[in-house]
Amino acid sequence: MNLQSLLFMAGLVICASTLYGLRREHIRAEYSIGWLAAGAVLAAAGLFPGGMQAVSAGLMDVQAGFLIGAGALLAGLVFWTTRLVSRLWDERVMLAQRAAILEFRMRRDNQPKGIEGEMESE
Amino acid sequence: MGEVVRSVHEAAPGVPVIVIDDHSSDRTVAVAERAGADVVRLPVHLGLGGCVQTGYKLALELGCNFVIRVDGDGQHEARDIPRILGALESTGSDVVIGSRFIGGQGTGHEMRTSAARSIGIALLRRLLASITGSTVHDPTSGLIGVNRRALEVFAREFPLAWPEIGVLAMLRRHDLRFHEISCRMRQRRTGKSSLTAWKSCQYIFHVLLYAFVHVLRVHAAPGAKR
Repeated sequence: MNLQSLLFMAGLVICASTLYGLRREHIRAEYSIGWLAAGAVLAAAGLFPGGMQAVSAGLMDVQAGFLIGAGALLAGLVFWTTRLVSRLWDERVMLAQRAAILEFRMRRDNQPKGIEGEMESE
Repeated sequence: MGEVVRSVHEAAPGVPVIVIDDHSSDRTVAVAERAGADVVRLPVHLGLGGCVQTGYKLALELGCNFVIRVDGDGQHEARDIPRILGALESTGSDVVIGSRFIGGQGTGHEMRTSAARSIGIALLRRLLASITGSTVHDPTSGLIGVNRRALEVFAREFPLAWPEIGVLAMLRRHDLRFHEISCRMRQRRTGKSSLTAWKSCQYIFHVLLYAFVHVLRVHAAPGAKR
């Protein structure tokens, strides 16, 4: 398998995985755009090395250029995803804590003497 | 869990006991409530850091001036709770840690550990000393008392992953004073220690990571005290 075929296959796998994730609702639509774009670029680089030659003419070997470009794009996406997941994780924890505390206080308010009552009496 | 709650009630009568249930699938909630605790039920599993911070947030909302955190595995002696509270009041410290590793020979407070573990702990102490500015004998203690000032800080900001180390890094960053007192420890009654050999390696890695993050944040915060 040469580099062109590898690029094309990698592009297809990325696009197919992203579409599958979209279909099964494992990935949000807005986050799929970058992955689809990366997959399309990789597949195009594998399919049309001649066409891509014009874009990267004089810079470096066309496949290597696109491989580096796609790699950089993927790295950027992973970094952005990490930031997103981190933020979502923090928000999830905050929401879960808020929900648990509110539920606790509602439950206590419905009892004759809640923990606040105990504390007030001390 | 039931025994832990009952022993806390006996050691500190009249003091509210709140159990944070980390979305457990066993009978923790029922057992704790039957023993006389108020239970906060987390809707999803958050891990140790998320759990402890939930307790701090609730305590702050309820207007508590002091909070003593006790692990639910029954390793701590509830009789040490009044001593932790006393130390918070008498020393003026913001955080008081119940330590297994201080107390001196013959007091019965010192904890027996293997040679390998002792070496690991000694190494950790040195690393953590660079973060906190002073030696912490028992960085993984689950018996910790905090006053209102520390409570306000921890309710706002608390490390979710590896909270034991993260908290120690926070002490210095927020200029919180801490104090250690000797406490008795028993073999755990329920559950297993989370510190396996692999976790111990991760632990040391995270100590180094937190030391680095601590340095970054201290220098990033305008007007922050070292």
